[in-house]
Amino acid sequence: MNSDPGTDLVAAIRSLPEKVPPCDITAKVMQQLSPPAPSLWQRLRRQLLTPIGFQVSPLGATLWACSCVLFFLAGYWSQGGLRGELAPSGDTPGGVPLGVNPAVLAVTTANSPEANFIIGRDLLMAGSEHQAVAFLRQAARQAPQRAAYHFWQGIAYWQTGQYEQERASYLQSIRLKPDYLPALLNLGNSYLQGGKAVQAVQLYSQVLELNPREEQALYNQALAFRISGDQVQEIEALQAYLSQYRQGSRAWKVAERLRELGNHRFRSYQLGRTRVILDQQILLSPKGAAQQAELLRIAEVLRSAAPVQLHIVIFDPTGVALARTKAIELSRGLTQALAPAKSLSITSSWFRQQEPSSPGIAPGRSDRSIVLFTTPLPTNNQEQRI
Amino acid sequence: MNRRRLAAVEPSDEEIVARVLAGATQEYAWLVRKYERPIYNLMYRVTAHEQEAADLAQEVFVQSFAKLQTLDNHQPYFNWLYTIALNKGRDWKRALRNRSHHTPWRETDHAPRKDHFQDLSSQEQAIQQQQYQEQLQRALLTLPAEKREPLILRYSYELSIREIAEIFSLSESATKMRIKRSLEQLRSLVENPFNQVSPHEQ
Repeated sequence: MNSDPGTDLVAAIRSLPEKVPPCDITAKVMQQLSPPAPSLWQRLRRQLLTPIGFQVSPLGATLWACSCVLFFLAGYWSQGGLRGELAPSGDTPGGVPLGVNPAVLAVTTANSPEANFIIGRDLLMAGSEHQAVAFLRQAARQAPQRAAYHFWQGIAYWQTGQYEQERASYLQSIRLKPDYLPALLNLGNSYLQGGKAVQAVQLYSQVLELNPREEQALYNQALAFRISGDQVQEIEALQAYLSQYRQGSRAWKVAERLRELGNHRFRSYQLGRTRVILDQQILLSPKGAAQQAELLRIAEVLRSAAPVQLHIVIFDPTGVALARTKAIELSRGLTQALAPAKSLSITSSWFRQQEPSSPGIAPGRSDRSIVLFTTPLPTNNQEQRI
Repeated sequence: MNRRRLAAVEPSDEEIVARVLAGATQEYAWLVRKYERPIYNLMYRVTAHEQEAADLAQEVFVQSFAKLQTLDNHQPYFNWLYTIALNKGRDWKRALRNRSHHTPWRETDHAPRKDHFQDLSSQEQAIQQQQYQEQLQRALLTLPAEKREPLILRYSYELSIREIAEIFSLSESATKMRIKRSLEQLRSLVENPFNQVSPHEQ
């Protein structure tokens, strides 16, 4: 079957989502089929005016009366018995209602909200989501002022697939504590997964106001803009992510996405055996703390690399003098950043032209650009071959 | 929703139809509840509009109730109902061509819900999957109903070739050939989205 070229397409057709019909279709159809229902007045009139008659046999009446008495006595005895067993003092322990097995009840409720919260959270960690929901719901009911309880209740709802309740719990949590970052973030994620990009963006903005370095919010904000089709905002969000994070698979995905969108501010460079993402715009901008940070990134890579020669190539169609100045400035900056631990051989070149496009790079790059690459350092002790 | 799930509901369609014909009109609600989803979805594929699809689905069920006495004992109720729905869809399209206003384009379905504590690459995969599904939906809608519906019936509702052949009044071999060709056409449309035209431009 695998050789069938339509197999994947068939699988895709099978997994296509279906529309859920409105819930009132059956009612509307049946309304059209059934004869019109009598009005309230007609029904009342029929009920009140129709005479009621019933027949009773002596044996039946006796049996009926006996069973009523038996039921009454059974109920009376069972209540008295239970009262005697469970609460001799006349009260039930922990408010457990009479007639309910307290052992069973203890599984779903505890008197202390903290206890319910801890048990619920542990159950959640252990993968018993459905049980956890009961405990966390109880905790949130017992201590409705605790934002964390509502937050964890939301997580439990999410894990059991109750997304509406999940959002309601996060919202309640945020109502109680408007700057509760985990709830804001999770609510944003929930909206994002539900395709509500606008709401998600709003929440991520709130998260980033509280913590501008929150990685998930930075990344997901870009995803939300991508879903909503706003490329300008997406590029800004992607750049904001790379301004904070340059390592890890997400950083590479972000750099790749920026390249796809025709934005070449952040480029990846192969330095020795390491590939690094650098902010081209900052490298080409006037000296400053940000540029120093970029140079330190390069220095860090080169410090741990085998001896190599670094080539700095600046393309600047606006003027050769500017390109030259920048190349020399970067070369000096790098030497300073590496000193005194390691000396570095740097070759600088500059061109008064735009960087020639290569097949891997899409058009739309900025006019000024910088290329960094390394070559092995020529050594004197190499074997000479004749 | 697949055929197995449809068939799992008790009592059987034949029993319900017999009871309805015997005068138990309320029993018809079982059949409506059981098949409202596939019929509504068929109508949604035809109209690309939720309200319109709901109205048409209602009409199909009312019409089916009115014609219930004409249902052949040997014919499964669902196949018969689907034929009525297909005809209703054709009538609607014909009427649409005569109308001057344009029917709104379909609403975008939401992305399938995924784990949001997962690695974010899965979220991207979800987006890609959603995009692919949207592309597939669009391509499916581009196909005429005669080609699209056999595919849906075969692969979404898992009807047998014989049942589909009955619905479309075709021989089994012709049905197989139609499904094969529809699948090929669908593949080409998915791979070359520029070949797609709006279903209302057909």
